[in-house]
Amino acid sequence: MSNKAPKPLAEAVQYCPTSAWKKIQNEAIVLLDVREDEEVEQLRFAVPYYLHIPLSQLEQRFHEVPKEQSVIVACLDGERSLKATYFLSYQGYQNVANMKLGLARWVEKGFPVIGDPELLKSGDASGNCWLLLLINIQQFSCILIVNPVAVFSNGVFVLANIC
Amino acid sequence: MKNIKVLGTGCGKCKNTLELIKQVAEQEAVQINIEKVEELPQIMAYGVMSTPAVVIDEQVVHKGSVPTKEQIATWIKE
Repeated sequence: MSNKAPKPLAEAVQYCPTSAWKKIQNEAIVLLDVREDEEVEQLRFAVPYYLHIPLSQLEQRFHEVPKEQSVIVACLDGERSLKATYFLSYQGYQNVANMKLGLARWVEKGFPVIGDPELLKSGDASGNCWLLLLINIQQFSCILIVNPVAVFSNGVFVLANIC
Repeated sequence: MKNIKVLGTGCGKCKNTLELIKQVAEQEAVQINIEKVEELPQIMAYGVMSTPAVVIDEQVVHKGSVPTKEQIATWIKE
């Protein structure tokens, strides 16, 4: 196993999607998408300098990320990309920042994407975040499985199962 | 005495790793200092992308899975 002494890291710089989009429009910033292949196939950021390296491959492929350019790292919700941001900092990248709230908020803001943003809103590309609601009305019981992302973004329930 | 850190953001495997190391140290009658590191910047300070990871005296000796009892015994007796 490798002998890696700890390298204290400064707190990661983070931008909201709006700030990131403004910077991307004005500067030659690389947007590094660390989502997995199947997620990117469905929907991805439409920006001039786009680079896709799944988080699962970043350890082997981080050399593909240009060191001379500023980099904003993104994923679906800003969690995986934060990890990637710290990893790149550890590897000596100085101009690297995380996009908070990721593609989910990017889409909400109406910023450009390639693919159908409705996939994200319907939960198909937003992970498995479901709530169980037990409803008992006048001796009629049922269980609703709802996607809260869809509820909050569309104002409608997405019913996966009723019993 | 060895200083051991288990790196991980709180998953079951990370907790299992911590408990397993304590268990093996007790079995082998080896005294250790052990702590769990859950903060991302502190984990990433070791350049570790896959957890759980085990750090002994500030050297990463294992990452990405729960180590075996045999591995742990070897580390703590070295």
